[in-house]
Amino acid sequence: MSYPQPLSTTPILQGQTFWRLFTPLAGPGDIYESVVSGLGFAMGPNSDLSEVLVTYLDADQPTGVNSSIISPTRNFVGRVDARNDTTYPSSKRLGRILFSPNEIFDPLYTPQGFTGGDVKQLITPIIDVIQYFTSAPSVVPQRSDREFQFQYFEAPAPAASTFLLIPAYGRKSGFFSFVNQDNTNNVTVTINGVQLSPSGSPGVIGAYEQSLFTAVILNSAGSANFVFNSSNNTADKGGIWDYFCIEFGNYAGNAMPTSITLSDAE
Amino acid sequence: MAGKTPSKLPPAVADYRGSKTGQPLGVLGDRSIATAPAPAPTQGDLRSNYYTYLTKTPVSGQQSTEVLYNGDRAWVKLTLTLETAGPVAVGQQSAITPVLSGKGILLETGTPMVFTIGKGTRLYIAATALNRVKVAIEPLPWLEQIAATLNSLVSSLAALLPSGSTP
Repeated sequence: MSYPQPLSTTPILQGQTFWRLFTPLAGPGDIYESVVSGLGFAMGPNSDLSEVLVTYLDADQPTGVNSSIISPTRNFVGRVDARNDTTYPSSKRLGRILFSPNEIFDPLYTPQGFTGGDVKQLITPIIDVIQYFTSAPSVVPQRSDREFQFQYFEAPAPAASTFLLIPAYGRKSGFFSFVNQDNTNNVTVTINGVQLSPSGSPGVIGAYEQSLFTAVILNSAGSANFVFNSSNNTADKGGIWDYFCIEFGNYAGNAMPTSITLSDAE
Repeated sequence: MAGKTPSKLPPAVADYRGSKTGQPLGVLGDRSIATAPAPAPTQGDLRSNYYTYLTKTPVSGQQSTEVLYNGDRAWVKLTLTLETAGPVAVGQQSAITPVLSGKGILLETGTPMVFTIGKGTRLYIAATALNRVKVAIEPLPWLEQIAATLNSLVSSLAALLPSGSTP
């Protein structure tokens, strides 16, 4: 999380009509707050998370609290008040609007097959939520495509692997491209889908990994492309995943141009 | 005294009364002519005023009611437009909280609401969070004159009535 968290009052002081909560997650228990009311809530275009929980005071509920999940296919239109004049009955905290991930994020996740000498690089997911102060659009377009470009990765111990973890929450298709520019070393590329578990830190306890493609060995100057589709259940595996885990086996720290594009469209 | 013209006050003289710097504060009028000061509203009372009001965020769960307009000196037409989500309540009584209680009326986002504020009354505002409110204050001096005339008329009529009866 960027600290301090983005202030919801700043856009009001500046006369903007929306507030954007745009920050990398810090941990699985992140909760962000808005101290101002909104007329609509939607996922931002650059969100890695696909589901965010909006929690607010609701006197109609036995607990006094209600929540709604917003996603790239479903926003939430209607006035939700930030009640700084009262408190949540359970926690006695001010009745502000709360945002929290509705998906599991585990920064300590250790990929399957991870051994001593391996290294792990995790791309921290970004939460992007837009709170409207004026009438919100009833239809919100899907998220923007997410593109990752890499040239080098952190090198593991000799003959060990580098694991790259990229957020895949709710993404329905993807294109993976790899080029091995190591003149002497063959690199084995494996792509797995990861379903995280709330009790899986550290290690793979409760989490689930599945190979999506047959591993390929990239010779010197060799390249490979993979196309992922969530609804594909024939030769390769589809599915909706929390993370894509890409293992570069026998990677020696040389240039490995990698391009990954993830999309909400199938 | 024959052949002498009667003494006459100069038509205008510098006015040093109350001056602390030795410089004249103004010019006195022709003191040879009897005049009476005409009642005139101050410029500040007749000037329109447009600004953005930011509602206060209640601190530590407390309600906060503020005076948005104090109509001590003139009638005004007050137009309020809520730019944000609210909820913002306004009313002429100070007890308009809790904001959602209905003791005041809620402003609607993007919809101007016009209030006629009489002389000697106030408009209060309260919110549960920070909000932007566009405020346009336009004085209505003619309304004040009409009100004074009506008041005078009523008084005159009341004076014509037999004592003990009510108009």
